Amino acid sequence: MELLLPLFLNGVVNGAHYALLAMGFGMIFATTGVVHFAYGPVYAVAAYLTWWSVTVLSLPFLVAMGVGIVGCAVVGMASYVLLYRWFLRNDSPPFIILVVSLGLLMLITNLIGVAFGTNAKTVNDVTYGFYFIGSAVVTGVQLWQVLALVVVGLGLAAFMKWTAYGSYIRAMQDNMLMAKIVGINTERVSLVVFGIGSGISGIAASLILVKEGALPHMGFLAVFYAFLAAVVGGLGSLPGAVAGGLILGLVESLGVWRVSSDWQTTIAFGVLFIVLIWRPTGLWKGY
Amino acid sequence: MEYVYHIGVVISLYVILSVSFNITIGLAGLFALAHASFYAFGAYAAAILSVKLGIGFPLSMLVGIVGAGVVGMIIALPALRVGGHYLVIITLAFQAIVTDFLRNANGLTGGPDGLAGVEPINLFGADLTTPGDFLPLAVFFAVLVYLIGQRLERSPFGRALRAMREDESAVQSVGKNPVAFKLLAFAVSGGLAAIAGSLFAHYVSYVGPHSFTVEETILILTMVILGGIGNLTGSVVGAIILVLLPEALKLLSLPPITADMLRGCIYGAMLIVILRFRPQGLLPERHSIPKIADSLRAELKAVGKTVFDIAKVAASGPTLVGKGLHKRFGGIVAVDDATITLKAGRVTGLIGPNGAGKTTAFNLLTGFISTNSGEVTFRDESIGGLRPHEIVSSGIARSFQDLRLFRSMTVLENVLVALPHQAGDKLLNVFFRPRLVRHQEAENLLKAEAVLAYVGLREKAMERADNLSYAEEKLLVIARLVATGAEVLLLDEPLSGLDPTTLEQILPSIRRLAEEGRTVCLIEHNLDVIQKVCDYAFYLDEGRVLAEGPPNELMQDPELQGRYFR
Amino acid sequence: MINNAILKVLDVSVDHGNRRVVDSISFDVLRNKILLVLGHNGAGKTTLVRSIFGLHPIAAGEVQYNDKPITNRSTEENVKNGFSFVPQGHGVFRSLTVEENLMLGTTHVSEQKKIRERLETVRELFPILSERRAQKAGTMSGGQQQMLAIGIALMQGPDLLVLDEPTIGLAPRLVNQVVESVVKIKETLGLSVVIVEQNIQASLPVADGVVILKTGRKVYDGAPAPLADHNKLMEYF
Repeated sequence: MELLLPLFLNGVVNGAHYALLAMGFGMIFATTGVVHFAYGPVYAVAAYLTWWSVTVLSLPFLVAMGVGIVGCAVVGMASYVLLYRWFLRNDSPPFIILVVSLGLLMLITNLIGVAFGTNAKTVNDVTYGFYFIGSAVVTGVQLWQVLALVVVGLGLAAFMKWTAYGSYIRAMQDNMLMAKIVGINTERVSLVVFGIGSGISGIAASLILVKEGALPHMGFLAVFYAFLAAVVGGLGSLPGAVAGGLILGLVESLGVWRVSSDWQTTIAFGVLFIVLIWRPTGLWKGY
Repeated sequence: MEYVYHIGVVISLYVILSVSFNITIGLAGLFALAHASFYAFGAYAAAILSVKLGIGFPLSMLVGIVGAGVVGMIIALPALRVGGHYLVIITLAFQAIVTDFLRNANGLTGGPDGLAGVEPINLFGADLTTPGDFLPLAVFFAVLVYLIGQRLERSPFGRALRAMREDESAVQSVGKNPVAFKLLAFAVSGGLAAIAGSLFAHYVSYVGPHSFTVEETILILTMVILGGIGNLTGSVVGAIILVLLPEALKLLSLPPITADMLRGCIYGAMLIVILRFRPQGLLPERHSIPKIADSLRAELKAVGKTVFDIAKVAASGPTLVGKGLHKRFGGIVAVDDATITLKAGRVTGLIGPNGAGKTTAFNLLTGFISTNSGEVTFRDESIGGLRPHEIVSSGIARSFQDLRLFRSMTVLENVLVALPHQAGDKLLNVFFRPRLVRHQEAENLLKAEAVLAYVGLREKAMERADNLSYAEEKLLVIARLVATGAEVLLLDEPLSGLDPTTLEQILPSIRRLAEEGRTVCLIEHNLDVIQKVCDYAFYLDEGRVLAEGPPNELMQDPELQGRYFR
Repeated sequence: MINNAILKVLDVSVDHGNRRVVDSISFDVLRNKILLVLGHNGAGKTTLVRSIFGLHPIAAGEVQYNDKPITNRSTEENVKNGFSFVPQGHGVFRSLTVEENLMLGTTHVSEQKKIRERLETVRELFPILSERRAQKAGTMSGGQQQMLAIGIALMQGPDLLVLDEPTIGLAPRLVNQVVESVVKIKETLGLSVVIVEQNIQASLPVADGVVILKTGRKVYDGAPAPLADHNKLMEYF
């Protein structure tokens, strides 16, 4: 039992990270219909930009984080304007857009590698504390990760509920045709959604940079987890994304209780594989 | 020189992988992203058998093929239930599990380090250790896989796969079971990919998990898409280009990791550029029917068979009968105690205002949805519990309001798919009884042409279905129904949206179907058309049969008129 | 002479793929009148009005709104300029509340006063929308959803309102209710209205003009009165 608490906490922390990623990914998918695989490398761009701002420009971490988030949002918006929009305007079949996105994933991932090399980039001068919860140790970064989920989750929920753009986004997720009929500029809203969704991943990226460092290939696993968590929760549902992320984190972490930690991801994927075959549309109903 | 041979071997391996991937993605349209796991299965089967048990080629390859075929069927299971994005994520998850398993099952797979020391293939007493020695064998298998793929593509099985890609319920409506086709497509694709894996393991004498990641699947996908989805020759071309292109990078003498990354950039950019400017790929999907058709026709001529007649149906009296049909959707009663009797030799119309329950009644009669109470009988036997494709085989076929043609296939192929009892629908026959399949295909060609002549589309046989005019599309729908050989034909709005002149061209075809003994039932809104084509009609409103009789009598009833124009 | 047409449709043709589904159709929509567009399934009615509103490309011909060409203009521009559309089959946002649905009709209205006034008008017309303001639209009955759909359009403050089969799937009692409310809207707000219909009995008496389509062509354009005779109607169906 003594092992269970740290495992549980670790699961919640990782789950918070996945949930954050799933929110942005799910929002982009539910609003625009794009399975945005390049969400992963765009998230990596944020980590690298933050790293570069800290180490090369010597900016304070919080400012660097801002640079990373904004840069990431810009790259996300650019991928919509320069790439997806043309395919969406021409009514391309979904699988074509999906493969285009895979292409963009390969392109950005490897460009990062060419530009920054394949060794891990870390930031060392960000200090954070350690805290004890019962017998378990939690680091400051881990707390930040959970806090980020709470703040971003509530912020996004408020944005969706109370702002005009929030209601346009919900309108588009509900009924794209009606959104056009009531005169919503759906392309402009899509652009905003790509910006917000990517920006959210940027927050997750800068925290993971502090925790684990950045690698060119970090994006693939990130988008994969985001996709999984979003699907498990129900594509496009905000509470679903949070639940999906936490389930993913907990299953992965608690699986280690009885089995060697090498099998962590195998167990998680195995459980989700079965869940998805059993209930392909996810646990929560999306839009 | 050995370097050139090595490139040749690599190309051969990727030809095998891309051709086999094209079978699921291209021909069957099943978007599963786990191809590298079949590749891995073949490689690890060979490595484990060789390193741990001392079993070598060819038994090692055989185990890989069979095993990967089974794995393919496992992946097909979710594909039976879900499509689109869900299939993508489920297969990606599967791929991740496989990679993880290879990395972690140290005892079996050697873990992250992989397995070294795989014995080379020994052929005619010589070890194939150098690229030069290995190349002939690799090329042999590449050609073999290509030929297998081609045979499959051109067979009735491949045709049915492509039809399934276009429209699954339309495939059911011509009496085929999509489940069997999906399972087999995955099994074949997986089994063939395992050949490449087996060769790879014996060739480099080492296997490691990093060779079989999702990136590998994406790389093979790029080859398929560059060459052309659905075109096997395209896959060969795609494999050659995408193996050679990065080799050119080596001339720049970059550090190997940078070269690897640049290769990734090229693949990514390539995918985007192709899909933006030439989504059909370098070699678009072809239709090889004309060439085959000519040679088959020559064979038939040699044995004196040149014409085929559409059989008349010897039937009379009631055929398909729905008694006391009742259907609720949630709280809404769509069809309420309706009794509809269809008789051979006459055209029966279902008429009534919008929302009267006509389409629901139609779906109940054809078994596409089940009744809450009441029974549908065909020649006094209940059709309850039969699946849609079984109902078609028993002699009841339907069309769809939205046509559901196999749009990217030729007119001739649309009809060929629908012909019943094809030996070539079974994969075993395709490969082990080719003469039977070929002979039957020749006869079916005549049948299909006869059916097309019957509806007046003989001249358009080699056109793609999406090049037809709307009236021709409607005729093709009728042709496809006739081709199923069913004696009861139910047509959902076969005449809607046609202008008067075209209508006059199509009406006789429908009349003739009934005159030759078939049972014909149709839904139609156009009142003068109903009076022209139907012998008998059922007037439905609010789910009930309000009246039945000759259509002009029904339409003169002031009450029914009032309901119609309510 | 003052031009009394708010919308002019001039030889408009529309294609679906290689098939012409609307074949050079012309008609005028007069100010403060109700035009009824009739035709059976597949006659091209829905395609025609959707194309006029900018949801589907027009292949040939011209559309003029207040004497200015608006052919293939975006729906956003049309809504901004007082041309609103209510689509077939409960054009609402099912997962959103009634209130949120109505507010989505004010995308291009910035004055709070106008919004309040319009909300007042809509609630007077359809009191049920006021009672159910916090309910999810998807949980309401078909008739209520149809009223909400019309309400969303009214929030846009239109001069021209096009309704695509507003009574489809409704019980006969509700059909009359919906048609009556459309008449009331026209009269109190001074709108011009186009109703696309299959249900003739309820809508024919309130129409000022009728256009009948058959397989993409116009077969009747004139007064509603002669069509009261079913035998006359049958000629066009």
